[in-house]
Amino acid sequence: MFKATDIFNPGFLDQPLSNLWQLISPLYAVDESIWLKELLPLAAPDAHERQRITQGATTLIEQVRADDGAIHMIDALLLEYSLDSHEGILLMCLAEALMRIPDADTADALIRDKLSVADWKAHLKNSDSLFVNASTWGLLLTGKVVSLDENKDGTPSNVINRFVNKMSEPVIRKVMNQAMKIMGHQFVLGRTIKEALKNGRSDRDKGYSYSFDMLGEAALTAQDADKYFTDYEQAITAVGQDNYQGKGKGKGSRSKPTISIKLSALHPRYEVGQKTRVLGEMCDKVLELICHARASGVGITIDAEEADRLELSLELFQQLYQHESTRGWGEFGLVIQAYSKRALPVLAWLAALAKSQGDRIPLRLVKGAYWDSEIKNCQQRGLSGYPVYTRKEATDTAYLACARFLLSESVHGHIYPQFASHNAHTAASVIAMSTHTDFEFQRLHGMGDALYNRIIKDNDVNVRIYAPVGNHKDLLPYLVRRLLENGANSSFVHRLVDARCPISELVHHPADVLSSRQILANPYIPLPAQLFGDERKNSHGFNIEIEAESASFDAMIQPFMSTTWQAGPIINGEVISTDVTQQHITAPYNHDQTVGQINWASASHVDEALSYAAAAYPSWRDTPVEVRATALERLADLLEINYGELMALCHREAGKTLQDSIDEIREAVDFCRYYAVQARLAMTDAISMPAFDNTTTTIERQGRGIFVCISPWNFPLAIFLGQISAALAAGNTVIAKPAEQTSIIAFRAIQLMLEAGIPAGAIQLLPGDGAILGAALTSDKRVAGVAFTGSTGTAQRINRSLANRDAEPVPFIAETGGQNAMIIDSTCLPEQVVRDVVRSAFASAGQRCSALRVLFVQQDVADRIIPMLRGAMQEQAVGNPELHQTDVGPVINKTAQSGLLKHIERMQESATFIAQSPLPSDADKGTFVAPTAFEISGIDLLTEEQFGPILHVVRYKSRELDKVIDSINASGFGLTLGVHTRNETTARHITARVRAGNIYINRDQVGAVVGVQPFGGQGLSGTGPKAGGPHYLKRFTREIQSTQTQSTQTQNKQA
Amino acid sequence: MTIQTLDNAVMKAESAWEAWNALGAAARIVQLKKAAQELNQPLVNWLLNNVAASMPDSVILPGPTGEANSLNWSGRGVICICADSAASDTAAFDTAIAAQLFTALATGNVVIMQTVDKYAHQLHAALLNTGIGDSIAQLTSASIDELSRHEGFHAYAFCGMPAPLITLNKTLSQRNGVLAQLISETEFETYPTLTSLDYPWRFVTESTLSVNTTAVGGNATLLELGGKDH
Repeated sequence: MFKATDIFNPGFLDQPLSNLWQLISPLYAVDESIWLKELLPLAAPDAHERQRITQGATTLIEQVRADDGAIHMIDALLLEYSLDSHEGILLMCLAEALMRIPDADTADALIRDKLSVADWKAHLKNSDSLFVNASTWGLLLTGKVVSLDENKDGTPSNVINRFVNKMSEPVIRKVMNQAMKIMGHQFVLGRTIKEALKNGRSDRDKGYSYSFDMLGEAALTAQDADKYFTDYEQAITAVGQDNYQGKGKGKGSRSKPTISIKLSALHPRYEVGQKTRVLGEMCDKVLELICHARASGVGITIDAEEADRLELSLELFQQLYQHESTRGWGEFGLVIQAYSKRALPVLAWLAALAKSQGDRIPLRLVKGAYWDSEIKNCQQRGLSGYPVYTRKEATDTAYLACARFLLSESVHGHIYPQFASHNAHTAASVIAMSTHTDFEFQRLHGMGDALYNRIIKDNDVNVRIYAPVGNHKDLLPYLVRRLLENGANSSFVHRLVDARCPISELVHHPADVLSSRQILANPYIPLPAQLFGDERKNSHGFNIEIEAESASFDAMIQPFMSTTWQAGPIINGEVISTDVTQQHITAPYNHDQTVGQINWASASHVDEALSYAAAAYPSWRDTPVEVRATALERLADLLEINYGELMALCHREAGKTLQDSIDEIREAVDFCRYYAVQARLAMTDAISMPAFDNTTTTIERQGRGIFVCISPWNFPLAIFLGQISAALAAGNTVIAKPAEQTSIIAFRAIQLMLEAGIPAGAIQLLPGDGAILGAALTSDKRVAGVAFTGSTGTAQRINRSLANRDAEPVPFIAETGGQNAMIIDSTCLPEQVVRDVVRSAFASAGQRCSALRVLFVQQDVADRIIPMLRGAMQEQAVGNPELHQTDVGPVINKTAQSGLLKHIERMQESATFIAQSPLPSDADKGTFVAPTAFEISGIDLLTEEQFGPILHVVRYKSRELDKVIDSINASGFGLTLGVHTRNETTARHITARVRAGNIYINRDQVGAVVGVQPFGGQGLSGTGPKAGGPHYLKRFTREIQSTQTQSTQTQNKQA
Repeated sequence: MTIQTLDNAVMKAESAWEAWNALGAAARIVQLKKAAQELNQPLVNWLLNNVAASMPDSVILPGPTGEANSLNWSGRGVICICADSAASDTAAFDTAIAAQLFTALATGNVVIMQTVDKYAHQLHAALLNTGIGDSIAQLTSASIDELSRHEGFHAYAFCGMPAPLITLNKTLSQRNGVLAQLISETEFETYPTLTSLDYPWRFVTESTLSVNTTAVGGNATLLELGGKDH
């Protein structure tokens, strides 16, 4: 690991750039405590510095608090409605969504929804501030202070309820919109760049300079990217033409404003997977802006985004910076987030880059704005650690460590540091650490005014205001992010103006606070691996967006990319090669590529397999549950050890993309561990309970006998092992019949299972023709239960075969098809919806049971959503699933392909075509189907599920929501449902009425996680219980009851 | 019984299901307990108590911060309470029928009950007397064969001997549409099915609700943890 203090060694920045680059990526998820120990010496002050900082910060805070104007409306509002209160969250939600809703009905409903559920009244008397007490609602509802009626005892009356009740909904909507605009006004400098330049003059007179940020979401389509490009271009022109002659005394008033550029707005696919496009066409776009900016004399700053894109952004930055158009300029800068564990070596690399070229790099150091989503993202993906620090004081410490480096002599002249912070202690620290004045501070427009008015007065330092420019409508999602960053109780801004908070509490040095912690990492935020606490280990995922991880991961997979596997039936631990039919398996995306040979079992093997399974059953049933569970946990570990080979098989046999393959293996691992835990819970101890006749009953569970597990090709490892591991953990022996298309990976999984200690008799593998083997298996009386995932038709055939046995019914657990819908209303965020729709409908080429088939769009937003969907589909990369750049791989085989193409043909005639993603030129080497979308009039037009990347879109009127719900229910299927709405009443209404097994709100509707989102449908979609849920394993057991008074044993023989 | 009459009954039941299911277990059980008072069936009371105690409406599941996951359950829909008439003349059998009926209702299903004997009428009357609507629990004179061929039923709760059970299972498997659950009791001395832990769960279907809480106002929980003083 990089030794942080080396950074001050003479000559450190003179190393080859590539050496410094090597230091960055390995720190992505480095052990937090170990790395913080490295960083602490860089941040920790000596006694003299500590004293100067404390004194400086104390003075600053005293002065700010003495300033009458310090508490602005927003500060006061934040103080009262902090985001850990129910009302604060509702308020932010209203702020985020209200202004983009085009139709009055939905807007009114949202207002009603947010006003009805929380205790707003309590806030009226909570604050010491007269301003908050008097204006809480006045501010929001009317934009001006409303006079409160007082009760006789002097307490305010129930003003809100009266206010809300008295006013009609359209009036409330109007004033709410007005209030949102007032909030917007606080944070947006101007709706256009011209307005911003004009509004900025008063602050420039005071000595501030500006950096303008054009508001907007990341672009999802080329059209949006073009629009943002034009916005930037025009902003640069306007700033270039600005003729402000500085009146102010400060340094800043004389410096020209700069423009901040959000790269994700300039390209719809600014992602590591699309590196070629980013470093090619996207780079050219940014260069155009650079040339224009340079000619106009306007500096450019590249904004920081998510951790996954850090390394890509640096590569792009280097390419742009070293381009001849940029050389010699010195006004091309970027933003670095100090909460990133990689920040320090990134700064070193940038300093060396600048030194090697001789052009200064302006660099804004921020703490970082995506902290919560970074943490959540890593937890979801089961990554090895976090890219950010988990304690606030650790981020503050890292910020100071970075600042000390940026202010050091070796960096001086190469990087022009711009310290963005609203924290008085941070500002005081920077001032105390600096030995020169070649740096500036930055603050957000609308925040930190009082603090920096003081700093600019007392110091010869430039202060730049970072100011959003754009529509108020676009501001609000951004505003929520900024408020989140600053609004939590722990935030300095929040406490700076809170008179209740003693100054001494605000001037602790973060390095001292951090050092005083027993553990440097935050013990309240478990690592992704420990998400499930002591119960079980979370499955491990890899982050292929990060160079260091991706390189070692790729090295694990490569050895198996040319392997040719030989597989066949496994009976009693032996691979069978007699009386078999050899099948040749090729990759679905390239039929020239041989994956291997699989020997199919014949009907004659069925009896043999059943005999071994029957013979092994009693001893496996009576094996202690702990032994069974441990074997499955060993299997989980073996799956992770063999990650590389299983990845290659997921690619080559099943046509899965990189991320899909990772998810597949993770799910299999989770199933093994989850059912091991479930078996221990249900089967370790007998349960005693009072019986209805006042005796006491003891109930024990045991396996039922032989289970047949029939699994599909779309989750060839996860569902395959999910069924088997539950059956085995419960004490059954198993005959596994994998899908014809994906038997090799199943074969390897069974080999690993035997290696893990599952006895040879307990698990039999019969690959082969489903019709032949399935019929032979399910008609045999020795079979005590069947677990099946596949089509509804096959499920019915299995059910018949089982019922025809002249035996009492046995458990039949079937997971079958779906006709999955998503309903979105006009409160949704279009960018988020389109992203989730594309993933839900087209990821895995739509070959998921859960995949979205019918999108219901409220008419009022359809003309915004549908073009955006069309644009996003144009950007989907279909092709070889081994490659990181591929979003959509092949469908499984020719039968699937021709069925889907026929449906597309039918739709071309009867429906309105929306879009189709482009296919690669060599698509005919495999079985590809281009993601395609059509508009239709209703779900009732679809008679059967199309198991592939085909999406149907239906427009609906908001008052017809219930009809939509009825039509979804009338399909008879009930697997997944997606909902996008900010209105919780609407969400509740839909969830209560739609009969679906898995409902997802404000997210995509695929990728259920074991034990977190138990999966399975109802009606035509399946029997239950849900896979990965607490009742699944029990269905594989029978209960043995004994009554203590009579000491008789009865078996629950029922199915 | 004509097919049309049975169709009508199923449609009537289907239209009553949503509201009955939405009542929630606790409210349903309050009503059902009143009806059970008239019947003096300890097994019924025991089952109602079990459902109330062991089947919480919603269970919170673990997961990443910023996401709320819960597992909920509801009734499967329309359930046919049916029996093998040859076995139906004992009190022990009546108890089993009552247990199936009350469990089906308590778990959020609406029922159509075969009038195998007088006791069915008595059960039905007890339910109506406590104000449970006649579309929630209906009686039918249809034969078991007719009932088992009707695709409107989501599950069958059967009491009887093994042989007719096997026949019923065969007939059910011939249906198209939903794979109907068959919940059967064949032993009327010890009721191994009716007294098993898993029994009431057979009447329900689970649903998972996953909410991205960060979409509505940000990941406040996580932000709090990040700044937690300790």
